[in-house]
Amino acid sequence: MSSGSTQSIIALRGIRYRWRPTAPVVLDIEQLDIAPGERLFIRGPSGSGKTTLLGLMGGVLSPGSGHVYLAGADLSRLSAAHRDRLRADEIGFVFQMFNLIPYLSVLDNVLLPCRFSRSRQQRAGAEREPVEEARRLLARLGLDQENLLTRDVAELSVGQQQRVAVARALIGRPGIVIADEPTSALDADSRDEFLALLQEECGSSGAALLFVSHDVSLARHFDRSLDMQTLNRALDAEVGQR
Amino acid sequence: MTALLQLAAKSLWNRRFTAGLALLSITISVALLVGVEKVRSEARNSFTQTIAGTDLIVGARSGSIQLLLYSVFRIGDATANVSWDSYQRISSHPLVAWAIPLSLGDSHRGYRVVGTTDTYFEQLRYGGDRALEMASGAWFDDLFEATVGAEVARSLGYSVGDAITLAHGTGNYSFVQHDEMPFTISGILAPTGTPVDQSIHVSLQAIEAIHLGWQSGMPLPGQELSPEAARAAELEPRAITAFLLGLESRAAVFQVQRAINAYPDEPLTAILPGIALQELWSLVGIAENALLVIAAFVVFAGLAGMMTMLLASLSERRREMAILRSVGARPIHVFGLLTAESTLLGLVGALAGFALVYGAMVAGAPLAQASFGIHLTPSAPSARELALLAAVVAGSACAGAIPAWRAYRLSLADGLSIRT
Repeated sequence: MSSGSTQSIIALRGIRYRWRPTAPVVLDIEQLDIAPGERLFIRGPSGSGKTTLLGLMGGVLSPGSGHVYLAGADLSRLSAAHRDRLRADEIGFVFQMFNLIPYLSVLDNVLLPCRFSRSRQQRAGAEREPVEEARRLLARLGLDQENLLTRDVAELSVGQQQRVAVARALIGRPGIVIADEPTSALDADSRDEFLALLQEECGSSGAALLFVSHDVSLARHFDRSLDMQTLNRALDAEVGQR
Repeated sequence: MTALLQLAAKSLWNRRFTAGLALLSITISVALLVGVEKVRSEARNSFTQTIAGTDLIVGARSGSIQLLLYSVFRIGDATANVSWDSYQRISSHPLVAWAIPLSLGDSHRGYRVVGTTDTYFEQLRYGGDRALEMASGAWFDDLFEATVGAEVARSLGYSVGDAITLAHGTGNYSFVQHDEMPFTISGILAPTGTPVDQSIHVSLQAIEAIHLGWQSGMPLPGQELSPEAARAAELEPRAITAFLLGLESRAAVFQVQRAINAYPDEPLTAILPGIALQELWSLVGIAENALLVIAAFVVFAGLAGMMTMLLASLSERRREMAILRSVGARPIHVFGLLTAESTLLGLVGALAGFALVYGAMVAGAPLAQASFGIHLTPSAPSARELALLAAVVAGSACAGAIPAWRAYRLSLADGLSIRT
């Protein structure tokens, strides 16, 4: 359909999505390309179709029409199992807060993608054991005290938890890190520090970064910035109807 | 697969309080189920162990189970006696190798008194082919000597040389004592794990002696005799309660049984102990099955409790499911995680239930021996018990499938969006 789909880590073409066949279209995106290593900011207030967009990119939702390409593969041509595997291989997610599995240690949380994705496991273990890679990532994110690694994740501060989530998103070098409002629970100082760390680590692992937030002031940290209001034509239609 | 099991174990450990309660209910219910099964098989085993080497049991005409119970297990009473004359005629039959007469009806502080002969000590076998042995002293020799079973000596604190008086009747408390004729304990038998342990053995003549001057089961006033007078009296028994027969050849057993059942002078019943036991089991089996069904329902309740626990935890675990999906878990993994949790709980609970039963058997063996004469030997789990174990584990996997299915549906619907 487009040559962009093979070069981009994520490419969307003519996406229209509705929750039910009779429901109105909630997401309508003509084209979106994210290049490898690119840092893209998308401003998306709640209700702008942001959650739907992330679901489509992660392959847990299927568009009614159009195509989603993840690392060159057309998700609509893949089985659900394939989409799950590809998501595990290529995307690291960082959510708003409480990113961690409460019953796993910090290290086990970071190693979680390696349990579900063989290629992440192999890439993480290419130079050293995956555990060592997890330690290295945590150390780079300022979490290198030994007692922290085995501690109950609930005892960590929110900022520490978000950094663990970044380490988990980055382990095994996925093609892209998708961060959904990861700084909303942080204060201004730790937010800037976190943002800098996130950028730096994505850069050093070569991952693209898609950062979704309602806070437009963060956009200046990124290569490119988009607004859901303009990206999602379903919103215009809605406004037009009013 | 191992990754999922590890996750499941850690998740359960994280919720160890609620999971522990679910585990406890499974443990107790499995212990009940296994306990019922164990008591059933052990009781059967114990009963079967009691009569070895005896080819026929002969008593007055009655049901075979009744005869078996009162003659061998000392449970219940005979309704009629066998005449001494019949006993002598049958025991001298050429096919009969040995005969053990049993004269029951008296007791000592709740323990049955058995009037018998030396043949009892020489020929009675239990637990395969083990003969009776003396722990101390010797088998009775004198008219007023008694040989007590191991349990009688242990619980009443008797030793050789102690004097005891017998009571008429077989209740725990008897109003009519044979206190004018005390007995001396001549010896104590080694433990056997059979009703022999709960018996006091005296000679047939002694039974006659203590009833001299009695009529219709009551002493006649002014007719009581002194021991010296009893020794001088004619003490040939007039009747006994039952007798055990050993034959020269087992092949003759049906022939001799027919002959006794058709004995012309007196209505008698001869039974094969093994066949009578089978009849007993088929009778008792109904109650046993009822118990097993109840225990199975208790296990079902335990599993339902675990299912409730897992279902209740789901709403707080939707975030966890979304995180797992974001790192590449498929909905089937979520299903597997929940099923693994329930199966782990079932497996650990079932094993703990087994451990509880076996521990209780080791701890409670002396009590069961003392109170019921049931000899508990912790043995390796039978095939039936292993089948029960497998059924409980399979049941817990099935019980987990319901919350797992719900988690599967939820994680399909939620995808990567975190809902709480």
